[in-house]
Amino acid sequence: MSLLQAKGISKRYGLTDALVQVDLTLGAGEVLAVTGPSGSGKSTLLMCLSGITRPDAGEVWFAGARLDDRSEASRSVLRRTEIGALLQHGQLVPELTAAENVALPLLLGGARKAGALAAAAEWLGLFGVAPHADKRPGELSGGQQQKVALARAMVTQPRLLFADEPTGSLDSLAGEAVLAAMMAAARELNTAILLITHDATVAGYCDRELHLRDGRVLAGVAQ
Amino acid sequence: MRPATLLRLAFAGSLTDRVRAGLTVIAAALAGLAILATGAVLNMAPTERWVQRPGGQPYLEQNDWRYTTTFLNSTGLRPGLIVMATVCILPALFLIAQAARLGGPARDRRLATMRLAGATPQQSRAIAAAEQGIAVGLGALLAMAAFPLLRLALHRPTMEGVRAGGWEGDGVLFTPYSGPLLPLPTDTAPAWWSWPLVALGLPVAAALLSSLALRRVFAAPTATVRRARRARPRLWPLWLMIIGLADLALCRAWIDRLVRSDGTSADTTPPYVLMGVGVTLLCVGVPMCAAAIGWLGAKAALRWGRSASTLIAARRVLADPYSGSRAVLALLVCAVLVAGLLGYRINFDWTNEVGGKFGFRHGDKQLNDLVLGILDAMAVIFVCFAAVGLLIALVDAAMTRRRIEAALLATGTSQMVLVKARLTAIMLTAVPGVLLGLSLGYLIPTLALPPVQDSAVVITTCHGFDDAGEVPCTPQGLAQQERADRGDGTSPAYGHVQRDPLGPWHNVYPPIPWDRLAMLAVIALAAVAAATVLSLMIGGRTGADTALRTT
Repeated sequence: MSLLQAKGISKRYGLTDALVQVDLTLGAGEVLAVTGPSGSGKSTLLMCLSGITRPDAGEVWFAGARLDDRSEASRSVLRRTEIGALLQHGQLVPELTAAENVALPLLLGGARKAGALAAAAEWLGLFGVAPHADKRPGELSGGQQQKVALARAMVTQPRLLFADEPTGSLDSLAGEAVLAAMMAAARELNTAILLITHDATVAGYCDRELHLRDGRVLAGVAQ
Repeated sequence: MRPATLLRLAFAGSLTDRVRAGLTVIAAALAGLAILATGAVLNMAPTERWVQRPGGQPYLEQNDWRYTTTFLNSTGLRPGLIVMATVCILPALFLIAQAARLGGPARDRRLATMRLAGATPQQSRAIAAAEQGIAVGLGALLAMAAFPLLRLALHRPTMEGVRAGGWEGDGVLFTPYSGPLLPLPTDTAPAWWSWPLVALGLPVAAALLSSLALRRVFAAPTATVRRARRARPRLWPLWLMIIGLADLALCRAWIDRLVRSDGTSADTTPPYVLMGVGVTLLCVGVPMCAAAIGWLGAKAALRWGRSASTLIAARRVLADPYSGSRAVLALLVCAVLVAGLLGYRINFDWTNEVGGKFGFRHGDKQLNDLVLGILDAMAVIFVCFAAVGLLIALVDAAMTRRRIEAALLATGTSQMVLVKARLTAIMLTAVPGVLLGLSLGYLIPTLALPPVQDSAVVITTCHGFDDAGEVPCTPQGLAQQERADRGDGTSPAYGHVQRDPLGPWHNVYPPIPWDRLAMLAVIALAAVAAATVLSLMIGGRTGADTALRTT
């Protein structure tokens, strides 16, 4: 059974069709790249699949249950427990330390501070940024910030990780390091990844590639 | 989410967030003190009582004048004291609202980032509400701790003066009783309800308002903030002002009906409290209407304005008319209250001027000076609150727009155009708002106070006296003997002119003090201009390169 399934989802902004009848499946532990030029609907697809927005038509299923008809609060809880997200600029809370940022999803879920910080320290160590645990995001380099954001996305051990241009703001060396860390962690936990990119090198890391243009799926390519 | 996590996240902000929390604590403490002081004024025991004389008119016996000033002792002035105390709470409440906006956009972005980490919409609202509620709660605790200490420090009994006296027959019968007198009502504890109102009411109201303020801010789980598009601002808050004015006029009529033909009256506290509600409606209505007024001004500026700065300013106001009205919120409330105080002073002087012709005056000179001094002090306090609120809002707005303006600078727009645009944008709301506030404020005492009455027919008589008896008067009202005897060493004569009103009575209104109202408008708008320039120096005037590098 697939972990994530989109059935004919469409989304329209004003007169513009952002997505048109998109079908997609993603199995457990599978890594899928969604590629396409700017404005092709990649980010809209990610938002619909992660439950951030609802599609105008079609259905989104996650782990055998309908996702798009749940309440906002219920989708938020699902994103905190079962789904991780990694965006281009990390989007860390600037006033919290790296460790607190990583512990944040656990703390929001009601975990005790000591336990949450211990789990955060473990993940920071796994991605090689443990020495920076007490620093604030402003004191970290772009690559380090992205690794902290990755640790935050993985700390709940999600079954699915959405990554939107995760290396887009990094130089090639730092980008490769983040990508390698993400893939290794995902394989370790059998976490599926839906990765949005327009970088062919990054797409090369994935099992499959889905190419979008004008909101329509052009082709699904197995790597 | 555990309470400890909620606390950590609520106070996880930057320096701006800490300044916001600190200002909120101070504003809440001031509001708490004002509420407790009002509670104490409402709890003051009567200092006078009406005594029914057998077969005669009732008279007011000053049976327990505990205070050094007539203003506190006089039962007749007590409702005015209550309204003054109530009105003093308003600027502090508005300062809380203004302080809550400081660093608002940065706070909203932080909440959005927390949503990316999995916070539900309720959790992000709870974090914002906790910050506001806890800061106000701390301020309330501070007020509750400080009030008894202040009461103790200001409790300075003196033995100078007479504590009790009475009137009987045509003459004055004093039953002198000397006792300790107080300059302030420090012998009275606040009414019981004022403590829970400060301890619970203030923080809960602040948390609810904070939560409500976020209802249009949508913190997306993509760590971005969207603001719900608002329709064109409506003019419905005009109704608040109309209801407020009607309330004042109706309460005045109600009070007049409570006064009996023998000069006594039933309890006038309810209509005076309702008058406080009317003043509050006006104070709330003006800033709420300001967004719509600014929007209309911006439309006009867009239609008739020619310069680039006017275009930028008008578009900015049209895109977010509420931002400008938030910035001048405290100033507009201040305009209403200060114009109200001016109207009260004018009415006070007018009553003395008209009544003085017949020998009627508002109390003694000491009382007059005291009342006028209190009104001046209140005006200064309001202006200080407004200035702080205005500066907070403008610095915040300047910092929010740094990157946008840096982009304009980078593309060749001159710094002067941007300064003019900021000034024009704020003035589009401030100018009509201040004029409206001053006009309505001046109407408050006009409607709330009893009209001054003058007699159509006045009989003037002169009586001249010297040691020997009555002497004739000159047409000028002087005793002839007075002039004649001056310089020859004999005792002078005294001329006494008496003017007796015969009616019919008619209302006379003081001339509107256009010059003083204009002066207030100029001061208010100069304060806006000064605060705008100051805000540029503190937080907004940055070069294109540095601002564009700032995240």
